[in-house]
Amino acid sequence: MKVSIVGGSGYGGGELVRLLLTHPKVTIAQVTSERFAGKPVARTHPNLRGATSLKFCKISELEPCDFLFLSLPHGHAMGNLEHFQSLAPKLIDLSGDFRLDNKDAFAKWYGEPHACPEKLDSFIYGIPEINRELIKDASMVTGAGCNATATILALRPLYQSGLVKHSVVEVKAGSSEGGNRSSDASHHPERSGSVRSYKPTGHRHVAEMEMILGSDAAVSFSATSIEMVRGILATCHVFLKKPLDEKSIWQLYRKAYGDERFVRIVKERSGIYRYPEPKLLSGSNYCDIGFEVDPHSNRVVVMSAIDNLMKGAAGQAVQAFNLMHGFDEDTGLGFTGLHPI
Amino acid sequence: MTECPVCGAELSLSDGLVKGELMECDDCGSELEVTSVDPVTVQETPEAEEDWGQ
Repeated sequence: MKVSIVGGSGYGGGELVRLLLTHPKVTIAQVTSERFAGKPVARTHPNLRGATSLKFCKISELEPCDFLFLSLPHGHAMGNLEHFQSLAPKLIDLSGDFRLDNKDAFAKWYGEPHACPEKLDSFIYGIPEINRELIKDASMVTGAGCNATATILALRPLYQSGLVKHSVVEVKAGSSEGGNRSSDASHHPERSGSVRSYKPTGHRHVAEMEMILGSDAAVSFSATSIEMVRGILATCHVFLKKPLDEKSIWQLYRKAYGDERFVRIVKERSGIYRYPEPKLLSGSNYCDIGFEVDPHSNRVVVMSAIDNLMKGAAGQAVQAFNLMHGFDEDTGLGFTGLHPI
Repeated sequence: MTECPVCGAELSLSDGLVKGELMECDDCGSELEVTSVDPVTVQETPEAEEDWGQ
């Protein structure tokens, strides 16, 4: 299958190239970058030295193919969707352009009107553990936000039980969430060692959380950038309408994820890593979820960890791509992470 | 079927269990003690608490 990646110079695009180079059903036809057109892909993604001789091309040089991954900055996919649809029968967009299912929500959270609102309901929200059957039949899928993925997978079993009053979520995020362009805030003397509250309120991913979890039980979300390159740890304080014991929560999560390939319940009584730990997941497509009950405050603390560039972006997109084509869901996604790291 | 008293997972029991034997739950890692063998019953063994954050 001939696959092209539109916007391949960013971190998400680089991960797509890495994953698809070893995907047994895929030949990468083209990788675009307006900035690096004509230059080797491996110059920008040095981990791919010797693995590919591909060179970046411009979007205007794209040729028809079987599938497109769009990994462009915000706004570019919705502005050029018709062109991309003319090049491939199926596509996945990793940006936020098509994640929300209505134009009013988009305008509220993204601060601008949507460029093609008539297409919003043509996309399937791309968390396979939630929309597996819809993704199988979809021609267009939107990747989910990384923080949204970690939070939604952590909270959904409890929200589905109808027992949640509200939840407070604090995400600790790695610097690669900010993309590969530098800013004053990412300058090393400023960034190094900092614990930066970069979005205490108003994060766009909240819109995705409410869309999937429902708005009956609010999610109060804050994000903090910490000294880490890859990874997200979401700590979710879930306040319940009535107490749940530990075994009941085990049963809820086991029922939701017991058969899932990429979601693991991590809550162990011994060992060094008893709860989800993002660094162990670097390069893997797992979402690890753990929890602890606090009867004192009638609260369950649910922790989830992912690699933001994998389960939070490229890995989850390849997982959805596999579903869209009837491939085994874990094709090309077998990497288990490293220890120690 | 014997289940873990902590997380409710079905325990995989080996032949020849004896009373007092220690085993571990595959799901949650709880250490369990066999308190009887016919029928098989288990209880959680106490664990040492970590003492961080003093």
